[in-house]
Amino acid sequence: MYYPEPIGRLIETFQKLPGVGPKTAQRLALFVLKLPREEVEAMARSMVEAREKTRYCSVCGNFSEGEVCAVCRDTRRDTSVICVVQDPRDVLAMERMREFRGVYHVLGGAISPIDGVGPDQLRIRQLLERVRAGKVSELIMATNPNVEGEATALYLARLIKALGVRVTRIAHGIPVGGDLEYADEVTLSRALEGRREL
Amino acid sequence: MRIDSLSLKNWRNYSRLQLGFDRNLNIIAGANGQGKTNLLEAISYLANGRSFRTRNEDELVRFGEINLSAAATVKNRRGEYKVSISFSAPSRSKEISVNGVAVARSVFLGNFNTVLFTPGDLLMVKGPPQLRRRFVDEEIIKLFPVYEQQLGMYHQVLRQRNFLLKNIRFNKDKWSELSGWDEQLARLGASIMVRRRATIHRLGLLARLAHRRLSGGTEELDLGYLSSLPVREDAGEEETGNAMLLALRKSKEEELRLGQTLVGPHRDDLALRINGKEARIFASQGQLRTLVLALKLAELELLRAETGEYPVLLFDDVFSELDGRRRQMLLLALEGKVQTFVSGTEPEKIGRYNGTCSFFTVEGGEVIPTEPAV
Repeated sequence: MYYPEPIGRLIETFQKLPGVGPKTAQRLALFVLKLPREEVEAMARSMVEAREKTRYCSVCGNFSEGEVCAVCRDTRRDTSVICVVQDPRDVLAMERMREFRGVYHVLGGAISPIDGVGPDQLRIRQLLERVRAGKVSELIMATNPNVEGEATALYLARLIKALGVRVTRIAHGIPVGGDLEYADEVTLSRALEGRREL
Repeated sequence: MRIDSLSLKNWRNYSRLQLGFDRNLNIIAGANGQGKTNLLEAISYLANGRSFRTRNEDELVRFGEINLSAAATVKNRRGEYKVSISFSAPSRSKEISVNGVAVARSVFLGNFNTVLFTPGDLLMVKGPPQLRRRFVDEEIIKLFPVYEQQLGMYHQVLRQRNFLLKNIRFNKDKWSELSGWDEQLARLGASIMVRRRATIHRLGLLARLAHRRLSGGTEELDLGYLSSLPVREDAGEEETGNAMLLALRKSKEEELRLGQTLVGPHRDDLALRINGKEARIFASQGQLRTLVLALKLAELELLRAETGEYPVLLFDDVFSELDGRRRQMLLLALEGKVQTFVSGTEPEKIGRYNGTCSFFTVEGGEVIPTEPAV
């Protein structure tokens, strides 16, 4: 199937989006063609605006409206405990819990040599500066429980323990409220490893 | 355990098929390219949830069709089950179910086990170490499904670490970055090595007994785990992991020069010795067949020890490679205990066999139950 060049290019563009394959891209592109001109313009504008107006907190790297994000500005938060996450989305997840009273540090990914991501591509220097500035008593590593997230946590733990700060890792295990029988075997075996005395 | 019936739709060269099997012995004859292996592949697919010939399931769908289904009635000591798998090529969706209820592959495994012996297995003895590692690994996966994911994670860490080593060589990354990978490599690697060592030990005892029977007591088979890591035989995961970390530290210069990880289970091998000599180098064609057969019988016994019952045994085109005496001995040993499927280009001359038996002739995607040709 061959499309005129502008449509072909639009399909290719959609295919760059995560989770969108050739078929979905084609559907989206043909949908856009049928929309009124104003709506298409509004769509394009909202993309550019989101890209331009979104800022990142200069302290933690979270999404922010201003220079510093809402969490870092909140004086009631305990700045001596920093939770290290890969992505701003992870901050939102942690915040939904409404339990954590510390602050965050967003790395912007995980170490993955195959994808060309090393420590220099992540916000690790900024994290070390925050720790060196003092008053930090604990760092909680909440990177993803896969080999890249684990490698990042281990790498950081080495660097930061040398500065005399306590480093912890979140537990991996069974989702609460779920049934044990639905957990996959790797999760179960990790949960078993991390069991505790009652 | 056994399989009582099989039904296939759009599987390889079969458009529709419905078969009932004998509880003891099933002999499948037919010329080359008629679909004998496809039949055994379907049985194995229903045990393992995937094909032993391909990872690309599109290949399993009959030419010109878009979806397949395979189902079997299997009986194990817990009861009777209907296991089925359907696959649709356009949506690449696969559904595995037990008694009509969709389940995860890990739940599906274990209802029905098979041990398969193909001509390809004969390459294992003289081929590259990875074939022998795969044999051991597949055995462990049947016993501990978690092992498969561990192995996958280990290889992911390995790929990342090798990439990093090359980057360090070109000064794109720093030494210190290895730490996060080394620790994981050692932890996952140790767990794999301990599992492999234990499995090879158990398999070795069983294989030696089987081999003694098959060779008439003239030869001693001995299995060993050749590890790249100097560590005690009975070292646990922690000790093995520490040894691996130490070894990684020692070989760093060399690893950097070559850009690859030199220590770990990906470098290990299964040693096979007959009367103390390396089978890889010294075994004759006849010895080779006996050796692989002994390994398969050991696999059978190991599965029985773990699950409490014998799996189903599938011989794809290798039975005729055994001499008359071994065939006879084998059938007598299996009779009444292990449901066995034998495929070959000629109806096998099975000689003295007292058990029940079914014969099938395969021709161009049709299977015809036939009378035995004794």
